[in-house]
This record gives sequence, C-alpha cells and structure tokens, in this order.
Amino acid sequence: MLASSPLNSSPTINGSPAGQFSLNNPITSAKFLSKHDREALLQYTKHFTRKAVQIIVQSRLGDKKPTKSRVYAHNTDWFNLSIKDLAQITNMTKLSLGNVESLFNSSPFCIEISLRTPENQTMILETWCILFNDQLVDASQKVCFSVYKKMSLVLRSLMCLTRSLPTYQLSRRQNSDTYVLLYRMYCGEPIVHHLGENYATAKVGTVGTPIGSIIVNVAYRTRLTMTPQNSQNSAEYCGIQIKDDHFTPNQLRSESPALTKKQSAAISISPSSPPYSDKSPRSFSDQNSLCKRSTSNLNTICETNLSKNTPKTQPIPMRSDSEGNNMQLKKYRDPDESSADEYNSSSIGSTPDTIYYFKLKSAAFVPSTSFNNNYFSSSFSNLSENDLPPFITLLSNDFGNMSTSDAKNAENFLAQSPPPPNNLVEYQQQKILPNRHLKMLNNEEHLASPCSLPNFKMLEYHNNNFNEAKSVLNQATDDFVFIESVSLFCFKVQIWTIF
Amino acid sequence: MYSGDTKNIFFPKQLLDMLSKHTPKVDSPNAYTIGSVGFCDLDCDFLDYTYVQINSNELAQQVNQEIIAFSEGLKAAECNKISLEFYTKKKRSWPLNFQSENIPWEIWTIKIELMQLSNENERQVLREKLSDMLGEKVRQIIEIMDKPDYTPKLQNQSQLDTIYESEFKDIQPYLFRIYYSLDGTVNQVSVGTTMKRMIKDALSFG
Repeated sequence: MLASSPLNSSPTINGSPAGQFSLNNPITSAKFLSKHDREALLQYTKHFTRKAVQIIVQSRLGDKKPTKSRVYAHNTDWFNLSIKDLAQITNMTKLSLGNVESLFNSSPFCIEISLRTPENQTMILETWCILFNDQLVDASQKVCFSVYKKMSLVLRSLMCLTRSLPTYQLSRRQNSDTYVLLYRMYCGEPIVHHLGENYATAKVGTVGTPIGSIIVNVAYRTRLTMTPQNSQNSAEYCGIQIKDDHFTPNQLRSESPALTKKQSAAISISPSSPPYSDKSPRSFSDQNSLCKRSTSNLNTICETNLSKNTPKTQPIPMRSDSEGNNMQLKKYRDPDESSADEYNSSSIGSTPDTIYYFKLKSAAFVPSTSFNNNYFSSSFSNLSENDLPPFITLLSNDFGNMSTSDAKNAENFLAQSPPPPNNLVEYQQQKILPNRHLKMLNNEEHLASPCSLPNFKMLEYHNNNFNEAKSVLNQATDDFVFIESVSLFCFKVQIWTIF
Repeated sequence: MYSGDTKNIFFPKQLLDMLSKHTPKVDSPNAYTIGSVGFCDLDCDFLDYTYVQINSNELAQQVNQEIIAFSEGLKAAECNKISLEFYTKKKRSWPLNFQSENIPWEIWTIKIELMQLSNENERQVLREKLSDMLGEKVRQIIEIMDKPDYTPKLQNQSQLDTIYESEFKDIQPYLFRIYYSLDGTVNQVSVGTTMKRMIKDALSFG
C-alpha cells in the first residue's frame, strides 16, 4: 500500500494517530525485525526527523552559523553530524510529530516555509515532506549500520539542497521592514496547492529499511506572484501601492540603482491564495489540539473553496525585546554583491490591477527517477487552514541563545553519554555472529546513543590483543557501472561511479 | 568567465562530494574514534550562490590550491577538465616493486567551456543562469549520491592509511586527488583504464 492511499491515511476518531497506531503499522507488524532492530529503527527515525527539521529551519533563519568538527561525538551529534539543536525548533518538532510511529503509519510529516510582508500578506514558498513508503523495502539494509549511515548521507544531502533552492537567497535578505520567513510543521498530507503554478519538486534522499523506505522530498515555489483578488473583500487588498524597492534591503537601495529600473508599484493578493485577516495568535497549548484535530480531518470530504475569504491563522507575533525572546535578525548581503533577482512588471503602477511580481531564482524542474511526483500533486489536503498549527517566524536570532532541550529532557534519551574511552569493545561480523552482537548491545542505554553503535565505538588496541578488535563490515560486491554523461549549457559533466 | 567564477563553480561541487564521502576519525597510536563533522556556509564571490563545506581549513586550503591552479590553466587554455578522484592504496607484494598503487573507485569530472561575452549585460544574464545551473547540478549530484554506490570498507586499523587521508589534523576524508587536463589529451586516468591495466598486470604474471 502506498503511503498516500486512503487505507493508510484513515482518520482516527480519538486523538491523533500518534496515540493510536493500527495493527497494520509496518514497524509493529514486521515479525522478522528483532525487538532490538525495531527499537533502533524507531530511535533513528525520531532523531533523523528532528535533525532534518533543524537543518531545514536553520537554513531559513538567514544567517550563517558554522559548526566545528569534534573528535568525540557529542550526545546530540547524531549521525556524526555537528548540528546544533535549537530548543524552539526541537520543542515544535516534538509537539507536531508526537509519536514517531505515526510516520510509519502513513502519516507524513511536513515542514512549511512561507514569507510574510509587514502588511501581513503571506505566501507559501516550500513544503518539505518526510514520509514512509512501505512498498520500497530493502531487506539488505541492516538497521544498525546501513540505515544509520544512509540517514547520515541523506542529512548531508539535505544540508546541501537547502542552500541550493531559491528560498535560501530570500532568507538571507529577510528583514522585519521588508519580509520575514515563517515555518510551521504538521502531520498529514503535504499541502502544495498554494505553491503556485509550475512549482518544482526535488527529492533529497531515500533511506531504505527492511520494512520500507523513508523518503525526504521538497516542493518549492518557482514563481513569486501576487495578483489582484476578485473576492468581496478584495477592495482593501487590491491596488496596494508599495515602493519600487520594497523587497530590496536598505543597503542595496542606495547602492544598486539598477534594481530600481524595472519595478512597478502595485501589489495585491492572488485569488489563489485566500486573504489573510488579523487573527489572534494561537498559544502553544492549542497547537497540540490543533494537530490532533487536523489529523482527524484527513479524509473529511469537504473541498476547500479557495474563493472564500478563508481566514488564515496568523503567525505567532514577535515578542518585544523586553520579553527576551525575539531579536531582530538583520542579515544583508554584502552591498558589493549585485542581486541577480529579476524584476518584471506589466505596468508601472497606476491602476488597481497592476501586477507586481519578481521572479525567484528558480531552477529547472529536475525530474526524479524514482520519486513519484504525483504524491505532491494528487494529495490535496482537505484541511482547513485554521486547523493547522500557526506559522512561526524565523526572524529571530535568539535561536542561538536557546539551550538545547534534548540535553535537558532525559526522557527522550536512552543513553546520555558515549562509552568511556578505556572500554575495549569487541567487534564481530554482523552477518556471521548476530547473537553476540545482540548481547553486546543488550543494554538499552547504549542502544540510542550515536556513539554506541558498533561501527562507531571506540577501538582500543592493546598491543598484546590486536586481533580482538575487529570492525563490522558490510561487504558490497564490486561492480562497475558507468553513468552516462549529462551535457548542459556551460558544463559537461562525466560521472563515473563504482558500486 | 573570470577565474573567480571558475573557483566558485568548482568549489561547491568538489566540497559537496567531499561532504558526502567523509568519515571523521582521529588517529592515535592505539585507538581511533569516529567523531562528528562540522559545516560552514560559504558565499560565492561572483555568483549568487551559497554552498556548504566541511569546516576544515586544511582541507579547504588544499582543494583551493588545486582549483586556483586549474583556473589559471583554464585562462591560459591549457586545461578545461578537472577531476576529483577517490582512490585506495594497494600495497604491492611483488618484491621488485615496493611502491603502492592507487586504485580509483570513484571519479567525478567536470568539463568547462569558456564563452566570450561582448558586454556587461550579457555577463549579468549569464551569471544568473550560471547560478541557477549550479543549483541544478548540485541537485543532480544529490540525486546520484542517493543511489547505491561503493565505498571502501575498513577491516582493520592497518588499512586506515590505505583508505583515509591522515594528513589533516581535524578530519580524515577518503583518499582523494584532484587533477586537470585538456580534453582530448592522451593518458587520461579513468576507472576503466586502471582496471584494464590491473587485469593486464595480473595476466602478465600468470
């Protein structure tokens, strides 16, 4: 059954799927998976999802925060990646995701990035989706080794992909005076109808497991347009005059006169995206109930009428500095760098219907060979916008000052510290002696720690006992495969790989 | 195309590959550990693009030197193709040959064609297209990395130096080398030619 099929996405009556998973849950019904592997897979998936959210949201904060390589992996350095966990993001992830088993119960987990202007006009830019497909089974993958390494690779790919999408450049230019980027998370089918026409998709990676595959995808807007709205309340939105350099940072306005040449003046809300009215922000306590309510409406047959003035939940307002939780993050590009954004206009703002848009630095659509694009296009969400958790502004550099919550929450960690360095750990070939491996990892406290995996334990070679320590391997057959070359505009890339 | 553009094109791709094929370790006389990899974002100087690289000054310096040399050669029309090769060392047991042999297991090649532009406007337009294209190529690389591939496996500590680069103090990537050439020249190293040579050597001693 596909992840998007109605059978797998049946709504629950009481609470979210997080609290009730069906007997057909792949991870519970997989008899061939040992208890150890099952728990490991759940743990890895949970931390993989959390890290993925951290990477996505942190990449849209608009700043560059390097991390250092560490000789000894920290508690939070899952998948051997030094990624700082920001507390607010972690808390929101826990709140939205709930029990990670819901992911295996065909309930995708989505992260949405949107843009908001000071006039409270919002536009969805990206929808990231982490889903589980129980039909793409890879029995050759060992949970504790191959799956872990592949998750690390997918997270690295995610890190690169977040920087190569057009939204990243927008995030670097965000400003409280021009626009800010928001994020929100929800469980359920990804919402893509508000990404505009000709939105593009990209696959980050696939993690094959013995019970299915975890797939990470993204759908992103390629054209940023705001057109006049023809609804009843459109009068207050049509023909809003803005400055020519509304989307230009202050420093560029004075030093890049070329940017002002091609700009028109009016901006109004697109009829495809409902207008957004002021609404009191929801508190964090309501978000959990929202998440449950949203998942219960997954299969509700009520088509969303886009022409109505469906009020949209407002993002959580930025608190004042006195509350200590919101500091303006002003990140400008170097004024010497010229912006490559194109500004096109149909007319120079004199009529209410004047359209002002600028084209995102869109990439060509890259079709994925194995990714089913229909997953995004066919799965229209029946959720009302009110039922989804509100957006959270990304314009806050207080993220960096927040301490990690994971380190404080001992309940979520089965292991708190890596094994001491003077332990001698014995390695064995997993396929040869699985029982001894299970005995070695019988202690649950070592199960979850990223440093406790056999591949990543510390080896201490005593001079007299050199043969006692062996590394665990997955021997891959050596086949040579040549991938055909791809030629493009300026580059000719020939790629050879051996697998 | 400026040499700086070349560097900005090649740098992210090479470092993307390095990012994916890298396992952090620290050698010590009696033990090795696997730590964690740090990252940093770098903005291109002449393109509207940002890429991620491993936070290692030594690695970046070594790669940067090769790329700058390639860009100089590109300007002088001495080379137009640059390759990143990951290899393992194979110690020969034949008594007459004590040198180890480098066996490549993955090679990435980028061929660059220079274009003559007549005015600044064209350059601006092409720069934007180049940024978009660079993002597209990165996405293609990510797609390729998602496919099953071969990576050398470590069996014991004595093989560390045959698989991983141990010169850097903070990270130990897979053994790699960067070389550049002019397309069409003879003696181009490739996996196929190396395999042929190995088979030929094996048959000659058989």
